[in-house]
Amino acid sequence: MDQDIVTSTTAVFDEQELVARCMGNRDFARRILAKFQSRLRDDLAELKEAFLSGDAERVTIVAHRMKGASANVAAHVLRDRAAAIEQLARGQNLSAIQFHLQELQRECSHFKESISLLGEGLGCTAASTESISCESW
Amino acid sequence: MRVLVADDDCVTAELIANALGEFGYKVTVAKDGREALELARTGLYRLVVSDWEMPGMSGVELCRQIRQRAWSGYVYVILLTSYSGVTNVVEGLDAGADDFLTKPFQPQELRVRLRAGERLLALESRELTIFALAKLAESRDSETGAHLERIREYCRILGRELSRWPSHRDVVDGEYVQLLYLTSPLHDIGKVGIPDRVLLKPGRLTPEEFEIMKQHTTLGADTLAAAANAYPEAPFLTMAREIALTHHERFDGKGYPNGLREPQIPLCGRIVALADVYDALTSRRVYKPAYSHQEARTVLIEGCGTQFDPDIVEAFLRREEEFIAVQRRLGNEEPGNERIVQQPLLLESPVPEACPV
Repeated sequence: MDQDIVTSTTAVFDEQELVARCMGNRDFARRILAKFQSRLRDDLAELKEAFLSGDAERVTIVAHRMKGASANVAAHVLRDRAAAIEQLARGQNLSAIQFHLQELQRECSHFKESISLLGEGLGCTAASTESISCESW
Repeated sequence: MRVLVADDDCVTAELIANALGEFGYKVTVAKDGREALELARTGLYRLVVSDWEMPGMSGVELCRQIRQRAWSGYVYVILLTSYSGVTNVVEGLDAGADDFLTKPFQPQELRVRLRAGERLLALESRELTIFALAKLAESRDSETGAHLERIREYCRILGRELSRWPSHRDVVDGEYVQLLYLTSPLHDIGKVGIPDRVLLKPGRLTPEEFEIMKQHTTLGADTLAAAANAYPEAPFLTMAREIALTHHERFDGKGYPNGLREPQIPLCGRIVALADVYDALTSRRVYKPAYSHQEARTVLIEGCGTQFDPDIVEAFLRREEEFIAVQRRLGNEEPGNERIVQQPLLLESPVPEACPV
């Protein structure tokens, strides 16, 4: 069953890759996904705020962080979206970012839906993802 | 072994920490470069895995700060990066990074990189062990002070100079100089086998006693040869053996134990021969005061082509300011204490009066 889910959602998330990076520990993978989702929400809000205030440096930092985290949880489409924003921000090309920001936001929603579908496989529920955050970080 | 992980992304940091924990490492996570630097100051961490780009203090800056502090033990730093450009790698190397890992990281790759770091740290431990062994052998002679520290510095100076010469640079490369620095302190290791009545005799040695003393070259070489045979993959043992055996040979063939001459004497032996004599001349002994640099320089020039390889004397003359600096930094003489030696050590010794035995 897991394999079917993975196949259908590979475009946004590669479960096998994440579980391998978690040394085969599915419980840990679940917790990481929850933490990632929480961080994603916070980073997205910070990214929007930085964009609206014209702060290219902050956009670069947040997009870079999102890119790295997305890559490590095997959310490859999210990684690509964040990478595009980072690259534009490094070049001070903020005007071109809006489109990619919208795409990123859409991808975040898509990712969240995909994670909900995967919930049965990884035991990750919407409630659990909401309850874990990086505030203690 | 402890690993310090620095990453402003809590997700990545936790993934790395989990993988390293599975591999048996004890992991501490810092959320940025500044926190990592503070933790590194405790001296608990010899392995650091840091994200390249972090707000406040980047991984490159963290690496630079660690290198500037010159802590007692080497800290092996791996930078995590999404970069692949040569410019960025050069920037990381310039800051002192040891290795790079591309994100997203693969646990097994991270493990392999850390093992490489552990091997390097083990080599440093090996160097400390070798030096401790040499110091132990030297400890029977209370007069020599920082002799071993100076010898290896002098040898490194000579090696670096020779590495620039077309006639020597094919042999004397960075690895050779490093091996020379590592093994030169073992030149007198054979003295552990010399009886106290000879080794610690405050006065002049009789010819019979001198014959016993000369055996320290073969005793040391035999010991190191046995180790070299047991560990043929360790080139430093081979060089250490050559140095122990030949550092009292003379360029004109009148040295000991085998009367080798000119190129028959391994280059490392010729280098240590000059360094050892220079240090003996500029150090005070119970039987002699310390020579000044100028007086020692005169003796070395007089021995050029007879006791010493002319190339090594030339290398010394080109770098003599550095010799003076080392002598001042590591010497145990008060200024003004130097005097010219009036009495030879051995009336019929084949070696100059000021030579160490």
